Amino acid sequence: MADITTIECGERLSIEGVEALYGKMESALQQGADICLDAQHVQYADTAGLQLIAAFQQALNQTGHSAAWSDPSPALLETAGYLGLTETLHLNNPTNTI
Amino acid sequence: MSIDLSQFHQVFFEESFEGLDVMESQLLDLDPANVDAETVNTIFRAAHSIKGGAGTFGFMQVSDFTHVVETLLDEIRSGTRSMTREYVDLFLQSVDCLRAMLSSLQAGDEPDGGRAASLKSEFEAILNGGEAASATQSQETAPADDKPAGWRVTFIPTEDLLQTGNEPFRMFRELQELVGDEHMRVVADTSYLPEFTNLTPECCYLRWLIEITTDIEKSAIESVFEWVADECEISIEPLDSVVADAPAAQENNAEDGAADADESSAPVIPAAVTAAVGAANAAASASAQKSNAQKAAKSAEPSSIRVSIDKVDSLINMVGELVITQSMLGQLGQDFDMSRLARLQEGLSQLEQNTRELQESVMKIRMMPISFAFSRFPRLVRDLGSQLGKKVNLVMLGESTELDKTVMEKIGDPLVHLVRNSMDHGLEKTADRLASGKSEEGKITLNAYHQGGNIVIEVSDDGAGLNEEKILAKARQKQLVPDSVELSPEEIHQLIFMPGFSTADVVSDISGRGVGMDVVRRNINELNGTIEVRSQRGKGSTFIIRLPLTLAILDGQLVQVKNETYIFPLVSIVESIQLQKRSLNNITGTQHVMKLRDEYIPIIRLDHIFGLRDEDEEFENPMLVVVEGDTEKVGIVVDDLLGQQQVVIKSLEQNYQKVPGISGATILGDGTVALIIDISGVGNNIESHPHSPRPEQAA
Repeated sequence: MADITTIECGERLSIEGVEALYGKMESALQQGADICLDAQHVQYADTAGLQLIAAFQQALNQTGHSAAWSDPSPALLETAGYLGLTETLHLNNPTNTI
Repeated sequence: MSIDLSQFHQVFFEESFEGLDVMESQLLDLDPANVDAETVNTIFRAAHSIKGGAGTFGFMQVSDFTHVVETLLDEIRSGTRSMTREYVDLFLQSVDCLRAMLSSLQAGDEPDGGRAASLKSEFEAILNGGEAASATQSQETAPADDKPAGWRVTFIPTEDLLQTGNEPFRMFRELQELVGDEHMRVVADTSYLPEFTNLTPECCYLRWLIEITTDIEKSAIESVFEWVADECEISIEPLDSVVADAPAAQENNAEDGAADADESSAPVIPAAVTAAVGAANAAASASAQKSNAQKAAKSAEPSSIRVSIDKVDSLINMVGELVITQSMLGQLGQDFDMSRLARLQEGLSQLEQNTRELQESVMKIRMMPISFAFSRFPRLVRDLGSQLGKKVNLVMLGESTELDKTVMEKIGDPLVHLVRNSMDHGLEKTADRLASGKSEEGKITLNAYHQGGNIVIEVSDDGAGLNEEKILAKARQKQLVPDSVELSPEEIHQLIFMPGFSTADVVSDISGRGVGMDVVRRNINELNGTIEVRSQRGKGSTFIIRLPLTLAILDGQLVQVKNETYIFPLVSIVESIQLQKRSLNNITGTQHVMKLRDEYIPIIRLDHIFGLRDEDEEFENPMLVVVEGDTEKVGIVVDDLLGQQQVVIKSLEQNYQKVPGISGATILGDGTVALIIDISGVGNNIESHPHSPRPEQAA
């Protein structure tokens, strides 16, 4: 069974925290593992946060790995819906795993 | 990491109140017959900012209400609807309603939704019933058939959009509120995302294509993107058909050059987008409810003040000077000998100067232009003018005159009272004005200026002036003035400030003043200020208020009573004299009065009020300080006059509790605490605690 690294998205997936999250994602990419995005505690998400997830998913796909959501919160789904990113971020199935 | 958004609430409230002030002043300036587009734009922008902020912080009642206000404003802005006097009145009522809602929220209370709901219904009735008017006007501008079935919006932000605080999802959310979620779909273009290693996460690389399938006005869409229009590329093109299909979207995307990657330019399945947006709406609703519950538990935020950067820089300069002086003195103290005494004295003198300048700079921080207090009057005069059927021209002068924020907050109500009185009782009815050869329009002037260490505020009108005969007759009837005493016109004018004179029937009879003037004077006295009136029959009246620039510092007279030092506000002191036994008269056994020239003044002994001496203990060479409180002079017996100095006022209420007869305390140069006498409070003490020196005890 392949290794899965969990990335905790925190309560605010937003511009003030994207630099720190970017660092975590860079490390995760170097590990070369599948990723679980734990987004159950996200209370607020914005464009910067979701854009980072989209870029991360693209980069992960290029390395042959994938990211799975763990209980994406209503706040995250809400913002993704407004931004037209539901499909791109594979959020159209709330219980999805990739 | 999570951010507590409540820390920004105070800023939101302040900005919103400022926005409402802007809306109000612009609405009052607006002439419905000749509407200036920029004025409507300014009003719209203010409403738009309040709505956006309220939405961000979860104040949905404010946001929802502002939405309908904004919608009507937008129709006027776009020329779909004409501005009318009725609309101006409705907008002004909305400003009042929003102000009340925001005040409640600021105090941590739930706003009263009744008034908002009622106004909202009026707006909705206008908006829904305005189809005919709208259609009539649109015929002039464009045939109805030409109206597009929808719009295709391409939004290409600049990379630094997110760093400037603009958030695309909020704009899209606002757009969705305008058109409804079933009429809008959003497609994000991720093709411009760089390689992950080259990504700067705070930059915006996404672009969007938005399809709107309803016949909303183009200007309404533009208003959503108004704040970013200058820095982002936005194109809004009509849709060819009501239902935008996938190929159409792709084609349009290619034409606009917005996106060239297949993955991103392909529209998502509408059903999926709709489902996601539906879920989002449910989440937003839940989030709003939670936010409402949280804010109800919040207590009132402390007030704050905006300070110009110049004032802060000046303060920093002063502190820099102080640090240099301190360093110099510190060095001097390390190896001091008497040969360097002159240097030490110079350093101490420098320190004193630095401290004084620092004090002045800090005081300036609290200073605000009096326009903050004046800004309410155009509205008040307008409303009261139409209520009374009087045409009034309000002139405001010296609006940039600065005043301490606390004084400003406390002077507001007395000023309102004076302006209302001038409107109601000062200015004559239109027919009377015309009959007396005056112009139809009355004039009320508010003027503020600095004079000495005070600020002077004048409220004048060109009305009928005070009717001295009737005032004196009423005063005699109420036995406020003995029949035998003749008064000068100036003395008669002062009668309107007497408590017993405040009766509405008198005022309406004499076309003069009187309602609550004693309250006005008391409020001003509490600010260590004074009020006087000058009036000329047939020409008008002027009320002149003099206030200290700040409440934090008081010019005081230090007096000694037994072994204690007390401070009298210098502004209250009329004169100080040696107390003569022969001039005292006992009128009730306990209350003494003294004949001072032509008048009798009651005598108060502070030593008895504060329990410093036994009743039978005698004074040695007592002094009498004659002060003027609310309405009349009072003589206060003290042991000695010490000196005059500025004192920094410390609140007793905040540090201990309110003490009758004491308005505050201060710390003297030797470190002892001295109490500041509340002249009005001590004056009122005569009735409840009639201590006075017995003639035989006075020297």
